[in-house]
Amino acid sequence: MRITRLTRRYCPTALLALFTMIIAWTSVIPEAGAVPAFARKFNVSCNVCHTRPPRLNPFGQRFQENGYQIPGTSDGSVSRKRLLGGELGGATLDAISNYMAVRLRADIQQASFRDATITEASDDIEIILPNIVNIFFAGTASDDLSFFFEAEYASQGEGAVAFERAFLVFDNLGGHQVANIKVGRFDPAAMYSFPTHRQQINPVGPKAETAAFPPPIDRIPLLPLAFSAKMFGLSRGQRLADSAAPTDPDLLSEGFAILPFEPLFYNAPVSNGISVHGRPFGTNFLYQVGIVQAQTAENESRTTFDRYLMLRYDWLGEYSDFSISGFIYNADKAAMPTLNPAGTLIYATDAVDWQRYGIAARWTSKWWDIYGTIIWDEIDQPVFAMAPASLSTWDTDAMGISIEADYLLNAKWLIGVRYDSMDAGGLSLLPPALQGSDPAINQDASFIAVIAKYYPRPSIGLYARYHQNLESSVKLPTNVFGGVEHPARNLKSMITVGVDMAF
Amino acid sequence: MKIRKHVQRISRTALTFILATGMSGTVITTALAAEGGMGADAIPLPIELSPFKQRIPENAANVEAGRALYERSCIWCHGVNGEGKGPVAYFLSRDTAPHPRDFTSGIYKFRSTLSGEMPTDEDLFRTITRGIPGFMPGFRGYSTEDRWRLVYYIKSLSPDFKDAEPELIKVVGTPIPPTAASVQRGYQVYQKFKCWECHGGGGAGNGKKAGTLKDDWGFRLPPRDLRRPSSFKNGNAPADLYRTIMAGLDGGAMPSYSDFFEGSEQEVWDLINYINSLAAE
Repeated sequence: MRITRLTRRYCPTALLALFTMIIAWTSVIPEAGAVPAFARKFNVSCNVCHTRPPRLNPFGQRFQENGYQIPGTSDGSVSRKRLLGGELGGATLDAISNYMAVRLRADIQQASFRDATITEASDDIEIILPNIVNIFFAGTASDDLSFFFEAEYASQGEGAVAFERAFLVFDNLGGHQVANIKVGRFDPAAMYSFPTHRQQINPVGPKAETAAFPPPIDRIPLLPLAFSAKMFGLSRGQRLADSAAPTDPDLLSEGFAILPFEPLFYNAPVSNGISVHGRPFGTNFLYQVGIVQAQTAENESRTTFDRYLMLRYDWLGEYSDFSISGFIYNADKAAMPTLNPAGTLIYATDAVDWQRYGIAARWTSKWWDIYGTIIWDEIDQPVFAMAPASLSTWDTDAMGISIEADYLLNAKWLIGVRYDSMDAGGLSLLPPALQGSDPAINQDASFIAVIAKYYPRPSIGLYARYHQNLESSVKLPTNVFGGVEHPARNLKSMITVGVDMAF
Repeated sequence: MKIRKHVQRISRTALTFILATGMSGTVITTALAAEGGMGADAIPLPIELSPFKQRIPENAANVEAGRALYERSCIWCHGVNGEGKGPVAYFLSRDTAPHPRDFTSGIYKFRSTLSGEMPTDEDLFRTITRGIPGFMPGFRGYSTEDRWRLVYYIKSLSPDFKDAEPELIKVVGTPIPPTAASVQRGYQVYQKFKCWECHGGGGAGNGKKAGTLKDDWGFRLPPRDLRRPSSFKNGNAPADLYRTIMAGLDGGAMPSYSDFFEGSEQEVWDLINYINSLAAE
C-alpha cells in the first residue's frame, strides 16, 4: 500500500534519520521473534542455510535440492514431527509454525529522472509500506514428498514483478538424488549459480503499461539485467489483442507488450511446468531438465511448451565453494514482432522462435560471495509481408551481464555491489520513412548498484542501496516510448532504504 | 553470439526418456516411517549408556560408507578433510564461536568423559542425532546404522581415537525435585563457584568476563544465556546439564567442575534446579 508521496524534494537527512530509527527499533526486538519456519523446524540459525538471508549458502542449496530435507537424508516424516495415529501410523505432522513463514519487505524510494515520466513526476520520495509481503507454506508432507506454496502481495502496481510459486517435489526417485521431480508453478532457475530469486539487492518492479504498444515505460525495473527479455519491438501477438480488431492499439490486453526489461524464460520468477533435477553421478554434478508452459508464444490456440536443460558443476575447497552452470532454453513461436507506425499494429508474418543460453558462476570464500551470469538471447529474423514494415531493421541477438559481490564485514553488516549491463536486441530502426533521424530504438542499458545491509537479527535485514545509471542520455522523439527520453536512460538514479524481514 | 539452432533445441524424446527412467521402479511412499534410534526429547545418555542394540560393527566398510554420508551432509561445514573448514563455516559464524568442529584436532566439547579425554562413541552418536541448537540440525533422518557409520568415519579422522579408553565422568545420584530448598541450595552453589562471572547474576550471559571469553581457536565466545534452555548446545535435560557441568566443554571457556564437586556431587542437581528456575521460556 502506498501511503503517501511525502515531498517533491529530495531529503537525505530525513531518510537517514528514519533509517536510524528503524535500526534502533529492530535492535530491541527479542531474538526469539525472528526465526522463519525452517530455522524453527530444525532449531538452527538462519545462517545455517544462508550466507545472509535471502541468499543461500551451499548447505542451503542442498537443502533446497533435497526438497527441504537435511542434505543426504530423507527426513521428511521424521524431523520435529509428531506421529498421529499411534501404532497405526498414518501421518506425521509439523506444528504449523514449522512450515509457515512470512516475509515482509518495505521501502522508501527516491528516484531521479532525466525527464518527467508520463504518469509520475520525477524526483518524488515514495514510502511503500509494505512493498511486498509473502506468506509461505513449505516443508515436507512425507519422506521425499515436499511442498511449497507462496502467496504474494506486491504493491508496486501494474507491471510489478510477481513471484507466486506453488509446487510439489517428489524427491530421491530411483535413489538418493537420482531424480527429483518438481511439478507446479516454480522458478526454473532456483538451482542456477545465479538464481532469479534471493537477491541481496531485491528487484524493484517496473512502472510500465503492457496493454499498449510500444509499451510506455515510466521506470524500468531494477533487477539483474541479464535475466531481462532484452528484445524491443516484440509482443505476445494477436491473441492478446481484441479478436475483432487485432490491429487497434486501444484494444490490447494486459501483458500484450513484452517489456525488454522483464525477466523471462529460464530466469522468469515463475513458470508452470515440470522440472527434474538430481546428482546421480556424485555430489559435484547437477543436472536439471524441464518443460514449462510457454510464456510468450501466441497466435496458436493450443498450449505450447518451452524446454530447457541446465548443467552445473560444484567444487569444494578450504572455506570455499565454486560452482559453474550453463543452460539452454528453447521457446518456439515465442513472440510476435510488432510495429505501430501510425496507430495501427502491424504484425510479422509469423511469430519468431526464441533461444536463450546462459552461463553463471559463483564463488564463496570465507565471507565473500561473488556471482555472475552472462545470458544470450536469439530470435529468428522477423519477416513482414510488405513495405514499409518490411524495411524495419532488427537485431536478432542480445546479451546481458550481471555480476555481484557481497562481503560480510562482520556478523551483522554486509556490503555488496552489482553491475548490470544489457546489450539490447529486437527492433533497431523503424522503416526509413518513419524513423527520421532517430537513433536506434534498442538502446543498451547498464547500472551499478551498491548496498549496505544491517542484520540486527539473522532474519531481519535493514538496507540502504543506491542505483546509478551508467549510460548517457539519448533523446528519442515523443511517442516512440511515450516519453521524451529512452526508458533505458531516463532513470538516472535511485536511492532506497528499507527492510527485508522474515518471521 | 549465435549458436546453431539444432544444437540449441532440447529433444522432447530425451526429456521423455529421462522422466520415464527417473520414475520407473520407484514408489512414492506416503506411509510414514517411525524414527529409528533415539527419541527426540528423552535421551538418557550419558548417565547410563544405552546399549544401542542396532549398533553395527566398526570396520573399514562402514567407515567408507560413513565417508559417503559425510560428503552428502557434513562436508558443507566440516570441510573436505574434516578440519572444520567448509564453505559455510564463516557464514555461519563470522567472528564468534563456535565454528564447525575440527575432527582432526581430537578436541570435543560434548562429552560424557573427563576433560581432556576423547568422547565416547555414544557422545558422537548423540550429537549427530540431536544436532546443536542454533548451529547444527539433528540427523534423525539417517537410520541408526547410518549414524553409526558417520560416527566411525568421524573417528577415523583423528588418530587420538585409536586405542582411546576415555574415562567417564562420575555420576552420583539422579535428578531431584525442584523444591524451593533445592533451588536455594543451587543458588548458593552458583555463587560459590562464581558462575555469575560469565553467565551473569541473572543468568543472562552478561557477566563481567562475558566480553573477554575466547575459545581455543581465538574466536569470541559469548557465555550461554541461561534463561533460554532451548539454546543449550549440549542439551537442556537435567542429565545434559549434569554432563556439561561435570565434563566441561573442551576447547571452549566452560571448564570441568568434576574435581570441585568431588564428594558433593549431589550439589550439582541443586545447581541444575537453580539453572532451570532461571528459564524464561
